[in-house]
Amino acid sequence: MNEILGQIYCWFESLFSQNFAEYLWGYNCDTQQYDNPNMFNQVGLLSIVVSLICVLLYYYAINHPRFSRWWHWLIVLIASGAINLFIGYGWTISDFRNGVIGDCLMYVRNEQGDIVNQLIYETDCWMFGVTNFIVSSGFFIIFSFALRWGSSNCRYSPFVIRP
Amino acid sequence: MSKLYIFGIGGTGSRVLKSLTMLMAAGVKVRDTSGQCYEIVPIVIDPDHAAADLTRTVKLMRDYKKVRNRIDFNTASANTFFANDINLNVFSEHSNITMNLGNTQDTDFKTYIGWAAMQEANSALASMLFSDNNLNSMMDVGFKGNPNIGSVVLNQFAASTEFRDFAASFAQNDRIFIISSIFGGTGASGFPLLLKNLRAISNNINGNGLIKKAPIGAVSVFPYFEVSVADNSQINSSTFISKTKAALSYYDKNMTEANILYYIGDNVSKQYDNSEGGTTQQNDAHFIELAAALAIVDFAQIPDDQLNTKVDSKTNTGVPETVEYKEFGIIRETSEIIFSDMDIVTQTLIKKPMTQFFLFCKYMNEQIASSTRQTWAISNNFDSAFLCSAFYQSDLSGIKDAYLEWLAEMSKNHRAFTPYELKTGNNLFRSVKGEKPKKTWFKDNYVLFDATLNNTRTNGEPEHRFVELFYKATEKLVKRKFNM
Amino acid sequence: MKQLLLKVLCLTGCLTLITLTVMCGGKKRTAPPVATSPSPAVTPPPPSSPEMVLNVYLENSGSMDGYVNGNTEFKQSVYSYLSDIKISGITKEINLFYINSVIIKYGSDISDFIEKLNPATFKIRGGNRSTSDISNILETILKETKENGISVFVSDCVFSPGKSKDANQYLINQQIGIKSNVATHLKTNNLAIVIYQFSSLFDGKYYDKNNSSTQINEQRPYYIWLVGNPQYITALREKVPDTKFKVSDIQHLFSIVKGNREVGYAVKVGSGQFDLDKKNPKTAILNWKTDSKGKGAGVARFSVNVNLSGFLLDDAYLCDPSNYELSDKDFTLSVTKAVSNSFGYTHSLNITSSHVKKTSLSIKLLNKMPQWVNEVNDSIGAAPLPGKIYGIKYLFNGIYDAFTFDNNLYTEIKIQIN
Repeated sequence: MNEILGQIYCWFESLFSQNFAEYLWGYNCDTQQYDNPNMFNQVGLLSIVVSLICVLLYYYAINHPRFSRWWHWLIVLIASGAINLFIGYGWTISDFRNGVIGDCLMYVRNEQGDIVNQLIYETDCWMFGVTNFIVSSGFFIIFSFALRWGSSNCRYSPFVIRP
Repeated sequence: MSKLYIFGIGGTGSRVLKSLTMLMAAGVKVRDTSGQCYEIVPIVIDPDHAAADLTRTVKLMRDYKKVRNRIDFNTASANTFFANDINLNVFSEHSNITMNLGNTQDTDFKTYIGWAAMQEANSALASMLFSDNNLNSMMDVGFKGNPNIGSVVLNQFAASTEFRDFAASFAQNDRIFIISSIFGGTGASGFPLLLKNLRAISNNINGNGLIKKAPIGAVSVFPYFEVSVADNSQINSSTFISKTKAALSYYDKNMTEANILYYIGDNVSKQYDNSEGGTTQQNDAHFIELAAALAIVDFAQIPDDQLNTKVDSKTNTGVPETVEYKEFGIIRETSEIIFSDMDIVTQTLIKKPMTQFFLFCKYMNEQIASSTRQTWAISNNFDSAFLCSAFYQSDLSGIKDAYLEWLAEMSKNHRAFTPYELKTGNNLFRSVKGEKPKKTWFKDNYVLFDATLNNTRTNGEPEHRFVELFYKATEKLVKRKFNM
Repeated sequence: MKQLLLKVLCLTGCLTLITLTVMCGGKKRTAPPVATSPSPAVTPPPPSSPEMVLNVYLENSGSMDGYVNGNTEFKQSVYSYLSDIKISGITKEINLFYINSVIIKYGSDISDFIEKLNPATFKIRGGNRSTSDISNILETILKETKENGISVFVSDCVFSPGKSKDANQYLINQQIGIKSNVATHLKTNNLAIVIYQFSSLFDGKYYDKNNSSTQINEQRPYYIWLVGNPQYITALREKVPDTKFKVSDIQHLFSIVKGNREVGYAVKVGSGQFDLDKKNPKTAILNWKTDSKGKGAGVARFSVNVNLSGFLLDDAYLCDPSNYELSDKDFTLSVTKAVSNSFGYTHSLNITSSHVKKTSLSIKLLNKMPQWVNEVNDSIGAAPLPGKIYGIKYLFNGIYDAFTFDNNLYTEIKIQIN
């Protein structure tokens, strides 16, 4: 149960590196255990909240007859995704820059301790942002179809489902 | 449901009937003291069958009927558009609402009275009473402003089948109302004759007992327009006033058969093209006609005990116990009347319904094609198939076009009735003159309309839902924007 | 429309503001502190304990005279070694002894001890110098070796069955005796034995298995043993590493500790296409896949970091895959030295397989007798064979048998593959 968000994000693990995924799972190089906070849960929860807020905004706060076509919904989806992209990037980039990511995940070292290979790059942070965009958009879509029924002006946005 | 038989005599009768239909479409109820709506039975007396005003009125009433048939008034429905029912099938031999005045087609008056077969003394008398012009005039377009001809011709209707049909259908609690103009040809002559024939109805006719004692109201419309001078026309508006005086003096002495008499007129005149009749006699709608229609609404509400009529045993005619006279006025002298110029009673009666219907018609005209993807349209399946159906495309749109045209004509007339800004492209809620709309945040104009429609629930058959939806939505809108 | 846009903009702006605040002011993990010492399964060597006691036992039986005749490499090597130990400061107490049938104390002065290393003083020292009963000597040394002590035993380790004795039987008995003594000592003590083989010029009488002597002047092997607690021995070898033996090179090294011990190990993150089991990230992996790209495409792999420092084994032994036993034949092992880390891992066990399977994989580090033992064994026992010692394999076997009585594995690494 604790891992469900992480598993969802890891469907897209090929976008960011495996070691980055371990870092996000909370792998602690010092104890060799998953002691650190599960960042998938942190970022995932925030993504869910942001998507939910955007959905509620669109369907209930804005709730405008002229902002109810499918492309309007798409605009809000993309906006929500973009916010979550920057959340994903920003959440991890500070750790990356401050060296918080464990050494055993960042680098491959040889016996003398010299760095042979770097395994985690800044692009991984961006790609995690992209993954967050995708995952949060998935939540946005689910929330949209689950919650739109009470909206007076946008009930059939983005499209009607006829039984 | 009690019936209210409305006799519309001549062109004025048709036009007032049209105004009444418009008001009823908008939701002004013609109802009795207990609140029950009357079933309106219009009967037109006009030898000028081709009169354009009559044609317009009949089409309008037919569309009204078709629309109303699809609306359900049985269940607890909030809708009051088209509240009154209209009965267009009172006559057994045909489906028109006009009474046949036989023998007036393609005949001149001389032939009609059998001048050729008269004895000399009679023909001499006739030529004293009727001018040569009168004698030679063709009658298929009415009596061209000559009540002396009309009174002769119109006497015949008492013998017609239609009159019998009417009498047979008359029931207890039904009422009668007569519309006529006092200065015209058909109306001026027809009204007294009709009244006489109703009160002194022959005992051979079924239902005569009820009709003799029936509550009868009438409105006489005084001159309110001119016609341009035309040499080849028998109609001359300079004679309108003198004819009015002549008629009035007759009424004064002889008109004790109606329970209530409504008078309405105006001194401002619009000049129309001089047409003697036929398809070219199409007058623009006038406020006077609307006000005259209000007389009918007023009449319907009068309690029965004020309209008692006894039968005089000697003459065997109905005699009202009292005759009351009523006039109409507005509170401000202005050449362009808006709602606030009218008395509060009038405003209470017509402002809200007319405005609601006005919004409804404007929406149908300007917005509905763009709103097919709105929630209200999708929920209720008001898709392009619905908008192409006969109900919408022909019946309801017919009413809508007529209503907007009616408003447009009244606004261009003199004295104008121009409560609404009719130009397209205006902010919808700034279109009600004299009414300052309340500010609504973020949503205004048609956006607010759509939002209100989206927030409104209806159920039933599609056509019923459509009308009720717009009724409820426009009611919310006028309440919110104008506090009506 | 304008009002609507304004509203949308406002709300989006608010949301962005909230988000940025959360991002910047929210959770903050600081950089990790300097690595604290972890806790692998084997207890680390204790800090140099001044309490460590070093006892040096030099065998002074007759067969040893040839090594101390003149300034031999033997003398230099022993002197050098003992001096290094003293200099290292690892122990304050170095006790020097001669040993044959009895222990003869000689104080703590190393230089004097070395100076006096010659056949004459050997004789003076006393004791029964005629035979070397290695089993007894070993028994004595073991008895004297306390918890905090290391015994350094220097000897030629040649069995001398004696005249008219059944040599084979003697050797077997010695082996059994050694085994028994060592095993007994192992019951109550944590014991390690390290045996270095050196070579030195031998100028003197060489006694064969029948105890008849021949005069020789040639290179002969001799042994320096370290006997005691494995942690102390490790500490000593850290302070005085094997590289200090410069006078003569180490020819062979034998090292043994009690096996079947737990060691610290953990699956190396990122060493292959797999996920660590969150509940047991050190010992269990999930979703193992073959590599899809790179030079290792088509092969599934993972590595386990392991701390093998407690076994006193050298890299030659530890990096030889034949010294390991895998529970599943489909897997292949290679061993490399671990990259520097703070957990004390010394080596990486690299597992590969051509296909993925779910299993509980067990990797055993076996306790194998080194091959060279057979090679240096002189089974004849007559004339001295260069580089060979008579019956030495019985000595090693005795020790080996004692240590591997219960099992022959040093440690077992278990990895769960799901």
